[in-house]
Amino acid sequence: MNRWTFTAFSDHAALLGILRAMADPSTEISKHPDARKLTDTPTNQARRGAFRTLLSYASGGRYTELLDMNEFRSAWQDIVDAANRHNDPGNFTAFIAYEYTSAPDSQNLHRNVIFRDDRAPDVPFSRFDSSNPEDLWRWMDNLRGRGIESLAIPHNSNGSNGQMFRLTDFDSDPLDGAYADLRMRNEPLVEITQVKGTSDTHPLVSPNDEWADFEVYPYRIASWLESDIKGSYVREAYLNGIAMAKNQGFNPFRFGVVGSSDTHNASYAGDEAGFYGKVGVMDGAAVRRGSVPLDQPREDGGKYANVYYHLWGASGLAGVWAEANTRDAIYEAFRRKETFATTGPRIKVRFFAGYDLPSLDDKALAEKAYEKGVAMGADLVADSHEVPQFIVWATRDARGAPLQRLQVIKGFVENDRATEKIYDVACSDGLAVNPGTRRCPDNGASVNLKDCSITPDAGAAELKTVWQDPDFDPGQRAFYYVRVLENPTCRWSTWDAVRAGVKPRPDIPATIQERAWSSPIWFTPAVEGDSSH
Amino acid sequence: MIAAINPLRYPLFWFVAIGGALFLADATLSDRPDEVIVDETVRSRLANLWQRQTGRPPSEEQLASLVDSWIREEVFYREALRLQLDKDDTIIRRRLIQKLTFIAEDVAKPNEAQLSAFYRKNKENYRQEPRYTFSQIFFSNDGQKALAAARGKIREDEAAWRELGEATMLNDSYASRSLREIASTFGDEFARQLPEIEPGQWRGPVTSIFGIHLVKVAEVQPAQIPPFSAVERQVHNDYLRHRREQARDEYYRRLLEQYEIVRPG
Repeated sequence: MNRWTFTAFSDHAALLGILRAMADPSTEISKHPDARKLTDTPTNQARRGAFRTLLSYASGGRYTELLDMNEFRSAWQDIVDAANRHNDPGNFTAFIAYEYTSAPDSQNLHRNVIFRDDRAPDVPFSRFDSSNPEDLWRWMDNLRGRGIESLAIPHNSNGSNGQMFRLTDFDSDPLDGAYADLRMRNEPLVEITQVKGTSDTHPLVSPNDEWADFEVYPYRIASWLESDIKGSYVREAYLNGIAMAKNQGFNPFRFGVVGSSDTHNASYAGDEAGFYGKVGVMDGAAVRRGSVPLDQPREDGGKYANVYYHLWGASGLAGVWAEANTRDAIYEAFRRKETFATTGPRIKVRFFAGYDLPSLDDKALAEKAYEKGVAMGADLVADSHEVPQFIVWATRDARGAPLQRLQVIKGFVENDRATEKIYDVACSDGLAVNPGTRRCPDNGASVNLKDCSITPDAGAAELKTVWQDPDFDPGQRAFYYVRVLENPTCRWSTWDAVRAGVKPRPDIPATIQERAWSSPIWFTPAVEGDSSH
Repeated sequence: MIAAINPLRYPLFWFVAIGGALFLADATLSDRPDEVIVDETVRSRLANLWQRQTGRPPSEEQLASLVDSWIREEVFYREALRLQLDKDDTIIRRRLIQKLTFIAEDVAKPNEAQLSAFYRKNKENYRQEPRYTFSQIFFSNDGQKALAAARGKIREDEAAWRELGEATMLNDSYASRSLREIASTFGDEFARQLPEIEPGQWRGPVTSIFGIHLVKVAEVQPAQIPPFSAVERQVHNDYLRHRREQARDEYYRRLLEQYEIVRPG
C-alpha cells in the first residue's frame, strides 16, 4: 500500500451536510417527511429511490425545503477544519475543497474547487447558486480579490454532451479573449481520467490513434442518455485551442491535466486487482458492477445486471512536480501546470523542451533541464528556426506492470485547421521505433486470462529519450504531450471474473494498458506561417 | 304482589354502578385518544423550525399553514399507530434501535488522566514500525563497473557522492520511511535487503526494480512506542470508541436481565 502525499476531499456543495443531519435523530431536519427515505438505504432499490427523491428536490427548485443553512454552514466548517487539522507541511498536504455539481440535462459540468491555503469562504458556491460555470469563475475571481485563492478542476468532460469544451459560451455567444482569460485564470487544470471514463480522446475524434479506445464511457451523468462526442474530449479541445490561438488570438483550452478518482464511497479503489466500485451499495459487489453474471438471467434474457457500471474504470491519480510537500509548493505546481495524470499506477513522467538540453547521461538531468529548457505545462518559444529537443522520461510503479513505450502526441495547425499526430519515441526490450510508421514493434507482452499473470521479462522499469520532431515546422503553432503505456494487464472486470470462476464478460475489453499523460508544452512560432529554413 | 326491591342489596347493582363510575372517571380524566392539542409548545417548535430554515420567523398566515400540516401529520401518525403499522416493519424497527443506541452510547468526555491510563493499558497498539533514513546512488543494471568505481571515489571524497551515479527520478535521500513505503517505491527485493545493511557506510550493490544502488543508511528508528503526547489524538478516538462499545454492551446486559429468552423445541 502506498502513501498518500496530498489529497483534497471534495464533497458536493449542493445540500452539503443535509443528509448527515437527516440521519441524526437529534436534529430538526431529521423530522422532515422524506428524511427516512433519503437516509435509510440498505438496499440497491432504496438507494436508487433515495437518489431519485433527492433529484426531485434538487432539480425541481424545491431544494430550499431541505436546505437547513445551519447544518450546511456547520458541515462546510467541519470540512474546512478537517483539512486544516490534517494538513502536515512536509509530510502530508490536505487541501480544503468541494465539488461544484452543475449538470443541466445530465450534461456533466462538475468541477472540484481547491483552495490554496487555510482560508475559505463561509459557504461554497453550488449549482443552486448557478448552473453556469462562468458564474462560479466570477465568484472565484471575487474571492481572489478578497485574499482567498482557489482553482477549479473540471472532470468527466466525456459525459458533458459536448458542453465542457463547447466553442460558444454558456449563453451560446461566441468565445472571446475575455472568456479565455476568465476560464484560464480559474481553471488551469482538467481531469483527464477518472472512474466515470477517460476523457483524453475517442476513436472517432482520433481515428489514427490505436490506443484511443480506452475506458470510453459514452453516457451523461447518472443517465442512460448518450453524450455527444464533439466538445467532450481533451485532445479535441487542445486542437481547437491552438486553432483559436492562431485564428483569433486567444486560447481558452490551455490547461494541464491531472487524474482523480471521483470516488463516492469515502475510499479510493484505483487498483484494477482490488476495484470495488465508487458508489457504495450500488456497485460494491461484482455482480452489481456487471462484471459477473446474475444468479438468474433478467426477464429480457440479459445475463448481467442492467447497469452502466461495467464501463467504469479503476482510475486515476494526480501527480505534480513540486519543491516540497506543502500546500504552497503543490498549489504553485497546479498553477504552472507542472502536473501529470495516471490511470492508477504510480508511473512518474518528466517532460522538458528546449534547444540545448543536457545529455541523458548527466546525473543532474532534471536540474539542468529546468535551467536550459521548459517543463510540462509551459510554453516553448521559437528560437529562429532551431529544432527543439524534448526529454521524455518515465518510470514504472514498483507494484504495477513494466512500461511498454513512451509516446508524444502532437497537435499542430495547418491551413487554419488543427490536426494530431502520434509518435512512439521510446520502446522497451531494446526495440527501436520504426521511423516510417513511427511505432515500436510489438514487444509480445500479453496477459493470461485465467489468472491475470503477465509476461515476465517484458517491458522496462524506466524509459527515457531525447526526441526531436521529424515533422517540426518553426512557423507552425503546436502542442506536445506525453503518453506512457504499460504492458497489458487485466482490467478490473476480468479480475472479478477470475475470482468468481467465470469467463470475462465478452462485450467489454478483458485487458487494458494502464497509462500516464503529461501536461502539454505549447510551441509558439516567432512568425506564424513562416516555415522557411 | 309487588315486592319492594332494594337495588342496593344486590351485588350486581354495585358491580354495574361502580363499573360505570370507573368508566366515566377514566373517560373524563385521561386524554381522549381523539384529541389533538395544538398548544404553545407545538406552535413555537414549528415557528423555530421555520426560522432555522428560512432565517426569519413565520407570519401568522405561514404559521397557520404550518399548524395545519402538523395536525395532518399528527392525525396520520396516530392512525398509523392505531393500525399497528409499526409492527413487522424492519425499517421502523431498525430506526428505533438506532435511536436507542445513540442514547446508550452517550458517554462523557474523557479527561487527561483517563486517556493516559488507557494509553498505558494499550501501549502495544501504538507501537510504530521501524523507520529508515538513507541515501542512495543509482546505476542501471549494466552499471556494475561504474558502481565499483563510484565506491572507490567515495572512499577518497565522501562529499562527492551526490555527483556519482546516473540520473534517476528517485530521491537522493529518504527520511523515516517504513519498509512498506520503501517496497512500494523501490520494489520488494530492495526492502528485503535494506535491514541487513550496516548503517553508517556506503554499501552495495543493492538491487531494486530499477537497477542497482549504493546505499548508506544514516539512521534506523526501531519499532518503538511513541510517548503519549505524540499519539494523544489517536488515544482519544480509541478511548471514545472503546467506552461507547462498553456502554452499549452494559446497557444491553441490563436490558437483557428484564427478559427471559425462551427457545421452544
